[in-house]
Amino acid sequence: MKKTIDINLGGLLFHLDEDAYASLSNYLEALRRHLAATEGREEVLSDIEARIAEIFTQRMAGTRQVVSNEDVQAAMSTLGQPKDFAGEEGAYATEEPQFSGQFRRRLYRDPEEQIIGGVCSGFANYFNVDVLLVRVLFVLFGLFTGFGILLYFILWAATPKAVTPAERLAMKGKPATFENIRQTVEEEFKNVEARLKDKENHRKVRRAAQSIGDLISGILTGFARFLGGLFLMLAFFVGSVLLIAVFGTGITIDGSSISVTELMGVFLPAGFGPIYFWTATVLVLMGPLVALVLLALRLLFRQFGAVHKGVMGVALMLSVVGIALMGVLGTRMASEFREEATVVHVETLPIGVTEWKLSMVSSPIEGGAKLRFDDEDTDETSWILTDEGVFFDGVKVDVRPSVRAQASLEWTAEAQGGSRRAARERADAVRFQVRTDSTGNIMADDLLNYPRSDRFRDQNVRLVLYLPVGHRVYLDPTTAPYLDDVANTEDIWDGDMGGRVWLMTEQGLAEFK
Amino acid sequence: MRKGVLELCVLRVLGRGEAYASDISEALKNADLLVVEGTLYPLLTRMKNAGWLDYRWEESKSGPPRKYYQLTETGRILLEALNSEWTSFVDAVNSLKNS
Repeated sequence: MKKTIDINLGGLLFHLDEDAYASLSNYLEALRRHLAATEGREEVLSDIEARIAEIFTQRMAGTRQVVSNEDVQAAMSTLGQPKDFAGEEGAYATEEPQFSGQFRRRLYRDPEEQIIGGVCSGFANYFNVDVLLVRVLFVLFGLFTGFGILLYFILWAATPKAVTPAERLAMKGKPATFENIRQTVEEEFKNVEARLKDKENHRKVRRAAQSIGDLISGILTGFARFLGGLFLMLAFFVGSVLLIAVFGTGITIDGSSISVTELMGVFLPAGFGPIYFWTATVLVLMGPLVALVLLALRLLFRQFGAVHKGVMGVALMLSVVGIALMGVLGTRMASEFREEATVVHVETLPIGVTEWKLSMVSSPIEGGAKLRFDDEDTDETSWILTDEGVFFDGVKVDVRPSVRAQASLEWTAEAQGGSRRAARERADAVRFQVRTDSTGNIMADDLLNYPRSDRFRDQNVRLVLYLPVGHRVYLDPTTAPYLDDVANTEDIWDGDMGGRVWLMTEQGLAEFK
Repeated sequence: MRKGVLELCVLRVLGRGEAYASDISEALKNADLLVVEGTLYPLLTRMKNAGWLDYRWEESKSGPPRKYYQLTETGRILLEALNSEWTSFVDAVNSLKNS
């Protein structure tokens, strides 16, 4: 079965084979260009069209329905090629060098040059560059970001394949260069002028005026389209490069870095690995990304049609699936913070000591990926991920009055989980070091530690020193960032309590001078 | 040169009576004066716009309505003038050949 196209020629309706249509419209377009400088061009063209209609009618002789390419070729040889006219009519516009290239160029995939889907060869055709160059660019972009691969598949789905002769002509057709656009615009103006001047066409003046309006708005929208398309493409590239920069390579603060993928491994619930997270993320992004690319294609290359609706529909469905996956993940994540549990550890303190010194000790962690956040309460919060587990500075220090005769020291590990039991197990797994000596030195680790498999579930440690009335404590400056809401009679901020000696009185902690 | 001659030929064909484009091209082709038909259309339009020709529409059984061209009064006068000019031109050229 062959596709036919209906055309109106000299007031008569004809069914044309697609290749016949391609050569005929090519021919007429070439004539139009050729006669650009000829007076009464429109009239000449309509005379010629009428003659072609006559030739078709005679050749069909009422026995055939569809005009074939042979009929068009016959009409063309009777009338002659546009260049044959030149000898008779002097002032012709300069002819385009290639006769086959009179169609406005469109972006198509080229099935005769394809390796995967013919996307690159299509672009090479459109921009009239070597296909190798386009391929190298795509491969480079694809390797570095991964979004190049995604972009390729979107383009594959969204760009029609040049199958019919007309499409193949359009694929290699007149390039949309500035010069060509100017030429088209000028021709349009001449047309409009001619119509205005032509007395026979007086009643068409209104139509012509409309055409001028159309033309101006056409030029403006063309320009806007171009800018808009460029902007969208730029947005896609910048956006994907930024995404890659943030998610792929990682967050770098203080010279150390952690990849989001690694972070996901110690954050997401069991059974939801980084692959799940990335799949869901990419799926969610599919809708917006595809919309971006389709809109850009539409603006830059005037691509459109049912193909795009289908592609957009699929992309939206994928986005919905992605959102659903994210929803499942979010629900599961929230459920892991449902229950809370604490485990209290009591440290032994030397008996008879009444003057204490509390300090925090930094134990250097070799290697590992560091992640820091600025935190208003504790200046900064940081996680260090090593093979031995997660080290986290979520330690809070407090000094409280004790009713007993002896000072006591305890630390409470807290964690969350999907069940009370899970939370309890996590709290149990928290490791924290406090060393004391016989002179009253208390040295606490500034990091707590738990296994990576436990994941971030709000594990934290609260270290409390209980002092009877009359005992003194020197809070070393190292404790300042860790002090948390320590009640004192002086109303001094936690951060300013470090570096001073404090005395436990009946009223509470007071500065000892 | 051919361009000017072609105009005279069209005038002469139409001098025999009204005709439509294909008739004219047929006549010219028979006289080996025209290679392709397309050449004729710009020529006819220009001559019509110059006021030498006029046309009327006639319905056709084998296609769209046809334009039947005929000479205007100006065209007739021009044909006379060109005819005599052509004769003297040919005589002059021939006289060179014979001598």
